[in-house]
Amino acid sequence: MTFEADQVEQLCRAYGSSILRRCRAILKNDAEAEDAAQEVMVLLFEKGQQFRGDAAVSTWIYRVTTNVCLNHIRSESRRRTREQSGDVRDWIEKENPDAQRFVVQSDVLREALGGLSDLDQQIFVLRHVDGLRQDEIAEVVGRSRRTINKRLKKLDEWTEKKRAEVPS
Amino acid sequence: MSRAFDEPGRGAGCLSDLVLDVKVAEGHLAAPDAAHLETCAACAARLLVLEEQQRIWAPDVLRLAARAKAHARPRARAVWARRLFAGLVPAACAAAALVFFVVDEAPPDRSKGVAMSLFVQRDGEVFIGASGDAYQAGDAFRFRVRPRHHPYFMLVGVDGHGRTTVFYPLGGDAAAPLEDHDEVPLDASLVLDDAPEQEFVLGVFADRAVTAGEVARAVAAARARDGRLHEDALHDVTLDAELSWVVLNKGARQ
Ligand SMILES: [Zn+2]
Repeated sequence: MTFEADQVEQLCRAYGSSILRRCRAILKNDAEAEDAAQEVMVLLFEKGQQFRGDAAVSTWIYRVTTNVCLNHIRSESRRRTREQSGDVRDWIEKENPDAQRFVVQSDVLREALGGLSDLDQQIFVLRHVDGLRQDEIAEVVGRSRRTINKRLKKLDEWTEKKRAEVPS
Repeated sequence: MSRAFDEPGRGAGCLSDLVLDVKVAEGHLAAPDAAHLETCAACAARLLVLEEQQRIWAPDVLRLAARAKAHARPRARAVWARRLFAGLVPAACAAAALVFFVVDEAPPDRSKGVAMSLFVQRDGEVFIGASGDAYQAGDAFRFRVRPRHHPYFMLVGVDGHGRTTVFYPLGGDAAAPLEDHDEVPLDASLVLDDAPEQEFVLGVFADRAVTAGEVARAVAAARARDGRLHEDALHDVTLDAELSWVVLNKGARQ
């Protein structure tokens, strides 16, 4: 075991519960969340040298974790099941004034994210799953705060539109 | 699953999970954030949840980290973390791996001399352990010590062959002052591996910076002829310090 690997392990342990919590919140499936958390840690061991000192390690870990989870969702949505489509119908049918909140709290997040660009998916998760502020989202995804503000407005419109267009 | 916005009372000025995760992982909080935390019950409550998760999930995290390390391509393993965690050197040890681990602790008995209290986390439950009890692989331990008048302290793992590993100061080679001179919880905790041997955890309370080498030699000298270290022999260890220890017997996992 190298000294450096020891330190990456230390990092995994320090941030492991954060990684695991976020994977569970995004993926809504404990087994899949553990797979994703392990993938994140593999990336910490393998790709750590891509990390540059100009960002906090915490935001870097948030970014990697978000991307790994979204990749899980993307590959899962390719083999989407009928049951999940039913979940979306339930979501639409529910009288819920806060569509984003309902998406995050129910099991339909992965379905709902399907129509979004990769960047918007990241922003949606950081905003509505993690509850981050705009400047924090900007830091995690590496975009300007103005971009985040614009994308969040679009995302709100998108959510409302999706509610309206899906037949009951 | 608890989320930031699920908790009523966390308003616009509140600390995000991103900020609180850094506090949990590294102990850092910027001064304005620390000031907010002092006055905001909602953020303080959220921090407790995150700390609790870190404690409860420690065994899962350890398992995942070990698997991740095994899966990572060896040549790609990082040298980068040195910049981030300069000075934070985990004690690599066959007997134990280090994790952060937060428990609510009962105050130790003040009537005696130097003392160590043992807290055990097993399957999400935390209980106060006793020296000589049987423990299982995966059990995580945290120690609380009462150094009395001794300014220097070292926490040393000792295996059945008398081999030593320094757990406090983390990765250090000599006893170090504790931050507060009374009943100080240690920053690190230990997770028991599945090696079948009895192990000891030795608290060294000293008036000077006793070195790891001195402790190792003193413990080695107390071994029996067959090279094994028995608990009784710990009473005969000759060292310029007061000693307190716990014996960890390994029991089969239920
Ligand atoms: Zn607050």
